[in-house]
Amino acid sequence: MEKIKIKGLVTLICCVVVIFFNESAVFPKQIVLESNSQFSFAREYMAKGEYGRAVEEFERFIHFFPEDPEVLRARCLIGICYLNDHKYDAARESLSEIIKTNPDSPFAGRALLLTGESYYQEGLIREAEYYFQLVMDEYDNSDLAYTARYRLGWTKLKESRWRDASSIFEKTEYSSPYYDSSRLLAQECLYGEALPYKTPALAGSLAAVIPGLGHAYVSRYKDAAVAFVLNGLFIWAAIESFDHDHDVLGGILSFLEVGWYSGNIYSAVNVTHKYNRKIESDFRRGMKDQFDINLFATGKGNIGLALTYRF
Amino acid sequence: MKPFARRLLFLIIFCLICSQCNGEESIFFQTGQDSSQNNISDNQSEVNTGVRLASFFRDHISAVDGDRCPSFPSCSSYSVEVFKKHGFFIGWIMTVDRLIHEADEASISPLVRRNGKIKILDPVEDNDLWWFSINGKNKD
Repeated sequence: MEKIKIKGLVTLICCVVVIFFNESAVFPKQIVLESNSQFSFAREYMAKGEYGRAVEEFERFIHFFPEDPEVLRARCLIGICYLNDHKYDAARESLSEIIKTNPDSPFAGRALLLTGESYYQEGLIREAEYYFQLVMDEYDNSDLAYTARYRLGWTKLKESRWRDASSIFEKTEYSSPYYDSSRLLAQECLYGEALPYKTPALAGSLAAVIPGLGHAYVSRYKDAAVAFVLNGLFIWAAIESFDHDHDVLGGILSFLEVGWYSGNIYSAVNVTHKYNRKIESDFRRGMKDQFDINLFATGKGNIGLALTYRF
Repeated sequence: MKPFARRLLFLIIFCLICSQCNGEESIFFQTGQDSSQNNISDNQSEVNTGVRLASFFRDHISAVDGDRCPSFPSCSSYSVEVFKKHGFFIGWIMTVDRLIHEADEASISPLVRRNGKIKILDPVEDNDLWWFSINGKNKD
């Protein structure tokens, strides 16, 4: 009887011990979060291209470790994540935080440069030029200034200001990591002045004389045929209607023909502009841009150099 | 054959009637330049006959007829967008431009996949870029 009591008591104690140590309400599991591991975790997501998740993890890092020396880098990386995600406004917001709170830190210059890059990528060339010029003025003879000059050259290229771009690339200092690339670009971009452009005004005039001729001028023969046939049919139908005393029908057809005719001229001018943009864009695509934004994400502190090809 | 002057007068009156059917705010030209950078007001689109016509075609005719437009956005969606953006007259001209330049567009514009089909990417911004820009934005 006594043995049974002892066994029961032992079993009861065991149960209590098991419940006691497993009950999370009593002893909740705790995670010890270290700043380094949190930062690396965020970087892993960034490396995988999951930028949204990386931003969340970097923000968690900043929230839990606001005094950590890597906070500014984290903010900078948030900006890069947004840039890679094409969220330009959010990127600028994050980067401006660095500029406002720590204007003297080395990351402020990076933030300025990346702000310019965000405008460049968004196609806002004037704003991009302003920021690149600012970096060149404030961080003279540094890697940042060299990069800013290189990007400034590219903004001129994007605007098809070939000679301006060439002169900027030519002024690249020998100590710049972009020196070789810039020398090559300075030569190459001058060929842009000899691109076989077509004249939009001439295309419009040709289309006004004979519908479709403006499209044929830029080798768009199917479009030319469509424009010619449609205009021809509507003009013929309108004349026939008037000849047969169907004034209302003739009026409607003439009204529609005004649209076809005007549209044909607009279209000729438009496709000529498109043609010119295409040859400029193809020309630019043939040049190598050695700037790689992801090198700002490296922890080494310096801006590196990478070879990137645009397909 | 009736006198030419009579036909011309008829045509002018017809054009005027059509231009006025936009409602109280007849907008033959609406460049949008002064409309505070791309803030296209819904009120303006409501009185735009072009939008109504193009929307009717898109929602009731094209929906039944089937999607045969090789471009993205489709011609009717493009038309609705362009009428909203530029008003009746320019919208009409740009719609005609889209219909004319569709055949050779694949040689210039990029191709995208939409709903499992390969389409030619030809948005409004690519066709008014040379005269209409927002904040000096220059898309490449």
